[in-house]
Amino acid sequence: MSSRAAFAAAAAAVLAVAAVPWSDGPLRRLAGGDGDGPDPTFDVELDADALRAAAALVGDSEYLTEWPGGSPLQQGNLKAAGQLYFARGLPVLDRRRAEWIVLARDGRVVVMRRR
Amino acid sequence: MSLVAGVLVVNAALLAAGYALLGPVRWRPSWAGVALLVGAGSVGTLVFFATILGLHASLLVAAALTAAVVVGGLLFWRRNPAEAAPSQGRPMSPLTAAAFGVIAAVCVVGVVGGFRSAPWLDDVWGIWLPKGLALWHHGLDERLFAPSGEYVTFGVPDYPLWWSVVTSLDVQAVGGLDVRVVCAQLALLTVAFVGAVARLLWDCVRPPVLAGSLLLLVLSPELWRHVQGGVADLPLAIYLGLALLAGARWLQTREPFLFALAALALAVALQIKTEALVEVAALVAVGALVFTRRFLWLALALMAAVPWLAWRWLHDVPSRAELDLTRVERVPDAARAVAEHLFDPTEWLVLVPLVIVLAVLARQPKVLLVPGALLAVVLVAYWIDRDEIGYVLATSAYRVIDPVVLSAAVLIPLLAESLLQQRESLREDGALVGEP
Repeated sequence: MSSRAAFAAAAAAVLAVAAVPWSDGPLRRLAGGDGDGPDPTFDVELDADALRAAAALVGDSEYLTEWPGGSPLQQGNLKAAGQLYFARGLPVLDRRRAEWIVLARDGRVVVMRRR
Repeated sequence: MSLVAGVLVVNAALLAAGYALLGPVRWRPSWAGVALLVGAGSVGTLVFFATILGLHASLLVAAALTAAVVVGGLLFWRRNPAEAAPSQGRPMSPLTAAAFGVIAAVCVVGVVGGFRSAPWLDDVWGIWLPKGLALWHHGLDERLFAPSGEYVTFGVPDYPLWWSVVTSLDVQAVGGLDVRVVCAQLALLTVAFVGAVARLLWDCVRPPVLAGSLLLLVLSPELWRHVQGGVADLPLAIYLGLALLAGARWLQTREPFLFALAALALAVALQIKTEALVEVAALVAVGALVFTRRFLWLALALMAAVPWLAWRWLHDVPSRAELDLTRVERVPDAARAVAEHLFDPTEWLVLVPLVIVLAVLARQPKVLLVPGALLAVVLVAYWIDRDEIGYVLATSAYRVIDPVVLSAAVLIPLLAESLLQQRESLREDGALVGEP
């Protein structure tokens, strides 16, 4: 067997194994498994579609994120999600300054105009 | 533009910038890995510096700077033409060729996996990418990037922003928020690194050794797990590894291009994570002490850290590290945790133990000072860190070792080749003294 043929055969074998849909081996995982969507894998339940929809409303305004009674992890995820989805806007610390309040409860996201 | 098209367009531009800097004698496909790392490193750094000067990290700014890099590279090589290096075809056995085939296929699958993965590390979608998007929309706005008391500032504000800039450009090219760009970009850089190792060592390491070394790297489960996590420690390790590679080759050839490549890689590393400042200084010190004092010139690369340090100083951005050396009890825990990750064969196979064995067998134990220095930086960082040690080890020990591991991966083929040459030399000596 020539070197070129050996190269091609080995590469084809690896690619074939990785493409087998029913395998759950390391190559399948290397190929991304079932594949992810464009949104992050949040640590808590959080509605990415609602965040995307809210981004159009918030625009370049000042906003505040709130998760009433939320754990630090929930609060942290919502804050980070705000910085990701509402990157055009400015996240403020003081509720009175915010034009929009992004509220999360039980994973659902609601956007309210404050002023 | 779709995810794939957007990321590929950005990387095609970065590749063009890289090739322009490499010069016409390296305009060959085998240099693509080096070219992409050089292009991404230089353009990403320039866009980051542009934000420090008040510009936004937009595609327009990136395109202008890419064009400037291309023109600058072409003009430089026109005025300083380099002679074409002799192209060296190397015969290889079918087994070695098959090994390279496996490496290539694993890299292809790894890139596919990158494009299909959302980063599992929450810091990536929660800090790194949002910073990049803010740099696009607001520029380096102190309201967001420095503690203000009025606005929600980003976590780890002391970290430089190269990784944020590069991934932000990908999002802009895609045309909408898609966090998979991070893993796709990291997969491309990782494959570029594999290609760069192969290219830069092709003329000095025999193919079976090179293939075996690269197989060990690309078959390490942790490499691709980090790609699919989008962790910034990996690009940092890639650029430190590229600097080590170029520095090692420069020692053999004294080719100025390789010295410049090492300096550039170190300068880019400084734009990725804060600890790079100490890691680069440690590498330069080890290089100068162990190999040649000429490596001290690489310390000039540290100047590339000045713009970000100056911005931080001007805007009172605090450092997370503080020099409290009293908490020495943290060191044994850190050493144990780090060692577990370094030597766990289910993470990095046998990369780290193998480099130790090879260094001893090749009678070059001083070489171990390179990964050793990087390891020392990691341990000191844990020593002086303020957070609870168990927490920081659990959340970072598995990834901050990336520079140590990739430096080992780069040294393995060099040490193995050196060992084989010593053995051959001994056999020739034996034949000269009268073996039948």
